Amino acid sequence: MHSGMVNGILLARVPRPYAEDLVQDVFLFAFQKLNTLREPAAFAGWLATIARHRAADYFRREPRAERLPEDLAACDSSDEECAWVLGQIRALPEAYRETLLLRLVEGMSGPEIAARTGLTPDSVRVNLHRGMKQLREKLEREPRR
Amino acid sequence: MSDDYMWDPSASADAETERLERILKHARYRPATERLAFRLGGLRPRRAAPVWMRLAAALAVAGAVSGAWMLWSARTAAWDVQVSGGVARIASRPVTGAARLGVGEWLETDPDASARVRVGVIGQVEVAPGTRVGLVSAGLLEKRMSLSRGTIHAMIFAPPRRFFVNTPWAVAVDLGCAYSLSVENNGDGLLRVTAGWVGFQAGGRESFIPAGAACRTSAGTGPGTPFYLDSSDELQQALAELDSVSTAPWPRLALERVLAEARQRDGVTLWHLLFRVPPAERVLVYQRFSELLPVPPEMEKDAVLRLERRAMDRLWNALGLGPMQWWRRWKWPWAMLTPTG
Repeated sequence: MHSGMVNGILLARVPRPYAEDLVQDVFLFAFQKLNTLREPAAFAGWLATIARHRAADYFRREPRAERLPEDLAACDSSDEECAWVLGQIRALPEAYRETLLLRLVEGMSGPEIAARTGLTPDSVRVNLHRGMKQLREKLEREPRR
Repeated sequence: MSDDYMWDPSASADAETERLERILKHARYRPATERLAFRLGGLRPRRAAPVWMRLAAALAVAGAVSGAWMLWSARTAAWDVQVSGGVARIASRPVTGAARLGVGEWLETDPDASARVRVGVIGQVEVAPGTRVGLVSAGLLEKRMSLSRGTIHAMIFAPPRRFFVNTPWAVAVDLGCAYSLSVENNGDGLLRVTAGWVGFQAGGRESFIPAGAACRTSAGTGPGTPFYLDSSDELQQALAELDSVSTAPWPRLALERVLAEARQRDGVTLWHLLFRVPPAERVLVYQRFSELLPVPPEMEKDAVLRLERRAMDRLWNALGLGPMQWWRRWKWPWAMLTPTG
């Protein structure tokens, strides 16, 4: 249930092949640190924070790994197109990336994103609106070749 | 651009957004086993191992995992408790700080005290102030508590159906999740799921509650119909009216309100209602379900109205809540397939 949220958060920060592996890493880390969670109802937000930290750790540990080809795992044209759009989203301001990816990749609704990430519903709505607007403009300005 | 569609995927679709979703679905999270199969693509071994060899290997792995699991779980017969903020009582003895809760004992928290109970090594239960909760069993394969009043927040990391909480009118069955469970002084209960799924069952009636949803229970009616917490107030009120009915007359208007207010994600609510409304009303529920969700074209309406297992499977698949095989193994004991009329 939460794996989609973790995947979306990681995709906003690291290339896709690494995000897939980091999802497992996040859940393992969360399980080891479960006793530090004071309020079970805060589980989703706590997990989201762990995912963000693990993504940051990834860059600290492997500072140039992001230069590897984004389409490392691509094996057909649809995967390449997917990798390209992901790259365009990652080029947006940070505030919009995560919300857009949770909506467009994992198919979460606005209320679900708010509940899982700890953002207010108003913030999610604004991020979705402005992020989508900027993404459309970017895709029109820099079409895929 | 449709902001409505971005906010609520069940609203009218925006073509450009749908196109992006189609492209980006390749990046959706898939479990490791699925990814492996995907990456292997069409590769096939030149010669598969004989069936007996694969079976023996599977049994050996299962045995090793089970053994490790049982040893791991066997560490705890009584559970650690940490009381904070005031005084609690275990077996009527005042307790502050660290303590142990044994099988057959009750833990009661004062109005200003709370407690954290370690559920063996598989999770924890936060006990809110003013709560009375007992430890029924701490076995290797079944851990069970009993909540007579107050509120607990449970978080469990274990295979489904290992952790149970009895309440006066229903049993909460952990299916790998985090949830809150409250019981009023009159025995009525409310279960809210934060993560994963929880089953709520009594007799032959069972509800499956996904994250973000809740389910009531009350005297004489057992577990109610699950509903998402972000569903409309009208839907929740009408559902409460439906759930409270155990005898005629049937509140048809309440059913109509539920159907009118239902959104696509409320399909879970409608799926459960098919089992609970009188046979004559089932067609209304099915009709609304098929308006909101993509029912397979080969679906036989009459089979659904008769609650036939295969048809209900297919209808469940339309909810997009996971592979049916997995559901059948862990979450669907078929006890609920008893028509109401």
